[in-house]
Amino acid sequence: MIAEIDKTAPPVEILLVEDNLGDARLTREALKEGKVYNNLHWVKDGVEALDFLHKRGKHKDAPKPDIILLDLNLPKKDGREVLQEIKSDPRLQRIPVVVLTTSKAEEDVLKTYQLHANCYVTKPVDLEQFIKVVRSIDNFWLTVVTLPNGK
Amino acid sequence: MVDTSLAKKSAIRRVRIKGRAELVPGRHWDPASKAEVVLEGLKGRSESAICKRHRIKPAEYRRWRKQFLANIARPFELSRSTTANESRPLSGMSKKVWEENTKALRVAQELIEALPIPVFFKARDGKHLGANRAWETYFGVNREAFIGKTVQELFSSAPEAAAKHQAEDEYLWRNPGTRSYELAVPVQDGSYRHTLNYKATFTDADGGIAGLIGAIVDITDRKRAERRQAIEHRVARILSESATVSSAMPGVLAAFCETLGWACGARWSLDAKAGGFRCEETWWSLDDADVAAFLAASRKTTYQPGQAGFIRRVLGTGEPVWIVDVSAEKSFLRGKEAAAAGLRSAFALPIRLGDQILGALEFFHREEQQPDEWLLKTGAAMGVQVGHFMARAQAERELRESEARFRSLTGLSSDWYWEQDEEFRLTFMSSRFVERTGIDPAPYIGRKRWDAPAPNLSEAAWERHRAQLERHEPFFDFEVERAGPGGNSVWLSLSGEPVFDEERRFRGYRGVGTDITDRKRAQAVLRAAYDELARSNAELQQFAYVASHDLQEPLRMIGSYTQLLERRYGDKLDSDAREFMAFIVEGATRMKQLIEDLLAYSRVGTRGKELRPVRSQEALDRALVNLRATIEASGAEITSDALPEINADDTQLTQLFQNLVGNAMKFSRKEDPPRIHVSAEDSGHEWRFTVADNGIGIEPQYFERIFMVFQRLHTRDEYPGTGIGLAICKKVVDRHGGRIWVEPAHGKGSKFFFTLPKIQKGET
Repeated sequence: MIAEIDKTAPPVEILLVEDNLGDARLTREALKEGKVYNNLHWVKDGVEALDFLHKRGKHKDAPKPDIILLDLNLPKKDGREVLQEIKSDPRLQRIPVVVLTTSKAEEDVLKTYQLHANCYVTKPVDLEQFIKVVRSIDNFWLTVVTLPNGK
Repeated sequence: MVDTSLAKKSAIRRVRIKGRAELVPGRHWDPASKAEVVLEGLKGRSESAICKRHRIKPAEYRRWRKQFLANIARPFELSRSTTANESRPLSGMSKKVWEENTKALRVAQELIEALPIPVFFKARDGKHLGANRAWETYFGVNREAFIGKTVQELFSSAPEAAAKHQAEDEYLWRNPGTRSYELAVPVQDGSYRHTLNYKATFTDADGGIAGLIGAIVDITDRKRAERRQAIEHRVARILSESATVSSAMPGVLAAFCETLGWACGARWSLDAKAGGFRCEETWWSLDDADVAAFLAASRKTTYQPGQAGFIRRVLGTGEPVWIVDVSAEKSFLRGKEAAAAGLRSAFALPIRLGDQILGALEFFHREEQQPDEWLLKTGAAMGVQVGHFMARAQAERELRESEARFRSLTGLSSDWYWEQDEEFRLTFMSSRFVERTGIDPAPYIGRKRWDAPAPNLSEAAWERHRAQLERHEPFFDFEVERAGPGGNSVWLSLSGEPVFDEERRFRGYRGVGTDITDRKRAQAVLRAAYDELARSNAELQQFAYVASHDLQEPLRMIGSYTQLLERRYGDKLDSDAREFMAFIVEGATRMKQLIEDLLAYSRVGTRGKELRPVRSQEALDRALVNLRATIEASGAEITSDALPEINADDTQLTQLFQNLVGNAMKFSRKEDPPRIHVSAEDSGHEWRFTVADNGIGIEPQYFERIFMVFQRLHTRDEYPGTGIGLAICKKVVDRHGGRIWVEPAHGKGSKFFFTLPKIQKGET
């Protein structure tokens, strides 16, 4: 059952940084079931993610994402480095980053780096939970958009 | 001058002397007959011819001749009752010469009388003729009573001395002249004195031996000094040649007894602490079985403190004790036995070292002996000698023991001994060096330690060592690697200390060394093993992390896509297919949980924080906050006592409380809301925490098992969970150096205990 999506508003630009095809697809599927009208941009590694964010190469026309879903274990440049760059770049640091982790343990480790992700989400095995997670991202977004001028 | 009255009466006697060439022919005054006698040489004339010539009868001639000879043979009459004038015999000289001689004789007589040494005269028949005053005093005999007595009569109490005198006299009668000899004789108080006797014969007018004059010099003091010196020398020699008191004493006792004629002696030792005393060594003349038995009995007895007796008195007072008759002396406990062994007198004196009394010496004599000051002094001197020796022997024994201790300690704690001179050159290396290391020390002798290569020591390290030596500081466990035989490394551990002479001048170093090659090798092996372990641990962690991460991805794929399948196409599947798919999802979910738990478990050891003082109350509070939802849902009542501050990883401590309290709530009875109490008790060096509940309790056979990973006592349907909670608790407590266990609570429920070490002083 796919919820009604309001397509009158401009779509939420979501950047998904995920090397795993299955996870990427699952995210896409889950978002389909969400309420938010979105544009999902999928990149497969950290280098491409930064190209996207900096509008480089083939991503020179990429939009500035409203939210980043960042997997940690990425080829070329892993999620920690990507997060680091995002948070140290004044133009990007306001973009909310949801870090997708495989385990709770991983999250704890990451926190020790003090990288200031906005949110950590452990990827669940259970689809229902995953959908809930994506919904929470919806909610997060909705909350964020209620702030004046996205601040 | 001619006495005319005498001449009138009997005219001048003319006497011819036969065969006496020493009598000078001429006029001779005869004081007895108060007449001058004309002495004519015989010149071959017969008696009858003389009588004819002088117109006297032969009988008269013989009377005159006899009288003349008798007078001339009696040189002096020293009796007080007779004056020289009255008794002066015919001297074979003229009246004038005689008178002069008589005067000289009187002077000599008075001189003799005044002489401080005893002088006496004795006739050829052995009867005493007279003596001077010194003689009277010396022997305590009135000289009137002595005149006419023989030496046997005079020394009736000392027949041996008398016999000696007699024999000496006999010799002189046979060999006229002078003679001197020593002899011990009894004097006025009955004591014996050593005398040096000078005797000289004198002749009568005919030249025959008329008697002898004797002079006595008392050499008792000299004799005693000689004896005392002899004893002291002998004792000193014995002591210097002896290693122990017990080996020295028999000889020392013998020196005294043999020199002074005492029968036997013994040394008594004093046990200064217990106060008892014991006979240690004895000496007796070998042929004396009775005395040997008496001494053997003495040696067997140990006298207890407080027991009276002869030796006790000496030890107690430090003064010598003399017993004239052992059988009559009550204080002498062994009196009867001593008397039975033929002993009569005894004395004992202390062995001294300054004011300290180390024991006593005792001596026995077969004959009754009066207390003798000199003997006691001689004995006391010996007591001092023995005392010094005992002190020295004791000091030497202590030194030997201390050396032996040092040697055995050195031998136990090290392999060899070495010495260095003040220039740090090796001067000595004990033989065990080569035995132990196989290295010939010869090339090292005379060289400094840093002159030979040691691969393990850098220039800087040598410099530090050298600086230490130059500061004359001791050093310990200085490790040096040397090339051993065959090129193998030999590791030496050297320790040394500076040596200073009496004037505090630095003289070098001495020390010990140990071959630590084996230890070094073992250390290397251990280090390799440790490195390997650390590497393998790191790998394992990496593996656990990778496994947990990478295993979860496929799991997620399985779970999620199965669900997606069911979601999208559920209506096209039958109920079996949906059930199967539910199992797939459930399996994947559980596996994910297991992996998570395992990861959490492994993280207790690898991701723990440093232990620091933590208020355990705060950790509990945090745990309760984390458990808030469960607490509210179960209606649990959780109470706690005041909890202490301890050294801990606060996150892990929180986890510990959370798991224990969480467990207690989980395993509650359906009918009772959980009631949980947390407390801590001081048990010496650690705190003992208790988490008590009123839950379902645990059967004793599972008390151990519940702390193992993934061990469960219930099905997941009854109580959810993987069984990791208590395993994590155990690992946390282990890491903190404590213990965790469970006991059944009184009534119902369980009591979990765990201990955590107290904060040591200075840790905060």
